[in-house]
Amino acid sequence: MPSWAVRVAAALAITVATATLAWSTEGVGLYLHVLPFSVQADVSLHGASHLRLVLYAQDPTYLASTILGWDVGIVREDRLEVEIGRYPMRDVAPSQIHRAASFLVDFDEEPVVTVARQAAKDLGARPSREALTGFVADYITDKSLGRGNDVASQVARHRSGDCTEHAVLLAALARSFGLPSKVVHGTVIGVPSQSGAGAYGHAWTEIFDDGRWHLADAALRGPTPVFYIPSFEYVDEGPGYGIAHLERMIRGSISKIEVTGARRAVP
Amino acid sequence: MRGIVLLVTFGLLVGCSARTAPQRFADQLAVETGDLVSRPLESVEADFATRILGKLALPIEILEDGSGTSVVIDIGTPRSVECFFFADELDLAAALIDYSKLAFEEFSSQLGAIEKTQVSEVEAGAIDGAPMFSVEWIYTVGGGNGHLKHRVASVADRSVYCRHLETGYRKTFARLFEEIVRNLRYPSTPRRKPFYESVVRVLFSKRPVGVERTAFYEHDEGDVRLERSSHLLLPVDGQTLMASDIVDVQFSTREGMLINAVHVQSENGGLTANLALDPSDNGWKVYGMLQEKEFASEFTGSRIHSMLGDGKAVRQLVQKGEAGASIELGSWLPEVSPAAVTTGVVKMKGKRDDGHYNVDVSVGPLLVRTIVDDQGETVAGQTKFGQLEFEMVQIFQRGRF
Repeated sequence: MPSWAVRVAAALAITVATATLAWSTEGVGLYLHVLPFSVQADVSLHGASHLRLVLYAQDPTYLASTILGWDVGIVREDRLEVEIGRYPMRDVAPSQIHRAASFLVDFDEEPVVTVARQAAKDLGARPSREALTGFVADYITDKSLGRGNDVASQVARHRSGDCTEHAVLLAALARSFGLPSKVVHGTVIGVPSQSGAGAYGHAWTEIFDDGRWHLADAALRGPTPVFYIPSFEYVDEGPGYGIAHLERMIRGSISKIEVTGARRAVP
Repeated sequence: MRGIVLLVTFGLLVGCSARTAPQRFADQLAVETGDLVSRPLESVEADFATRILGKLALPIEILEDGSGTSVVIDIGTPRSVECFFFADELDLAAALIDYSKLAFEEFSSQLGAIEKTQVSEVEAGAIDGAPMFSVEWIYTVGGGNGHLKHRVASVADRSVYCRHLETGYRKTFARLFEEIVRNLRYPSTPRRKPFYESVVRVLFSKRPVGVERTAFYEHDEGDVRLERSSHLLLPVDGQTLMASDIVDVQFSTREGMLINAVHVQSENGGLTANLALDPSDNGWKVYGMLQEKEFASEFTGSRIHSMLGDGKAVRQLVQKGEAGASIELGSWLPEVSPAAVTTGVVKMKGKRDDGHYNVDVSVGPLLVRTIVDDQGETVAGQTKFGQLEFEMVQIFQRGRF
């Protein structure tokens, strides 16, 4: 077996963003895996609530199937045209996997139990998802790409990581407080006010609360408008979770984004 | 006695000519010494002998913690080269990150806060079969630039690491390191001799990012001990490298079926997996530590191919010569699934003009296009992850399996 290929796959799977690689703090948080990104000359992103995009992808049909809740227009051989809002609303009820402790989201392990106790002390017995998101953002003090794709107990222990570590710890804490959660990977389009827009690979959390799923992003906070394009969520949280999702990671990967239109929501 | 600390003081090498600072720095980066004399170097106490280019600047010293020996070599530059001969094998990738951090911490304490560090060069390869890694940094402090070079290699279960904290002299430093590694011997330590060994270089976007050594040894009662060490230094961004070091040890039948195995993995020097695989009543049991947690599981499956078995099966496939023929191989690949047999499909695509064979290997979502020689050895390979392309090239091979 070509162990070298398995190894680079594992390294890619655990970092999501190993390569073309740049990241920027731009005042808002962690960005990974910078993508080629362009905006048509006559389009302004500022104040936009919806974007019309052309997404170039390895498997546009697969990508279209992951973007539930949005108006998917044309799927061609190498691209997908879609209009997106800030985040797609997906009406799928949570299942047991979104509630239970797993190898990856191991809120039953002592380091996470300790952090959950601290969260309860700081935020009360039933913290809101916003409060938990802020708690995780503050708890992870070393914002760096130095960790792999850690499980929640490692994040709790080391207080270090990038978007994947933020997403996993937040998912674990949410479940420990009885809120179903999942870890989602995809792409974000940020619109920083000064340096222009950019698109980046990213990971975040969804939390089920008040009868629906909500986006919760502990790594990327701030006033910058951000659009999210989910590619896949962890459905296998077992010990081979990294490579288990490599196929989804590859098939759902976007190679280039063009913004062809933008509109504001009607008040 | 001294620890692994810098022995010299630092200053930025920005001259006073009319040239601009970037031009002067570029000039300094290109500076080399003249020819250096090769001299023998030996430490009976530390049990090593080798050759160096240049001359000893200070007496050889044993490190305070007993982990190795420090040697300072004068190569005719303002600052000498420091080398450390370790008693054990280092995680090559993690060591370069750790020692880079250490150097920058020492810089900061002497020069003030480092304003910026930038990876300028990563090299991965082999010196006479010894896996080798090199990292060079450009750093900025006080508005000027400096240059830092590190090299590390493992020779027969021990590692040697050298650094040169001087701008330029890149080729000189590389030649010195090669001289040391190529001639390194441990006179009083019996050396295990593999009947087969190979080293491959892993490239990302045509740049070296990894090195993997495989060695097969005769063992008791006709069994075979198989070792593979993989080291990756992946660029996360211009200032950050991610280190992955993996060691696999397998015991195999001569026919290539797995008897038992150990898999140890670290990321950035932190242990992330330490797993053992043994036969059990119902198949196999795996136990140990994974992601800093205890891990134990059992799975069924009677026969698992070892690394040796993989190679033999591929050899049979290509020697049959049937384009389109394929075989399935069951292997233990803990990165894919620690508690299961992972099945890969190997497909012969056809013979090449150079006498080798095109062979595709599918492992789960991975498709690896390889070039295999008539002995079943993979001499090159390529795989893609979306837009990201990785390649492998065999750079050293000795013996046959």
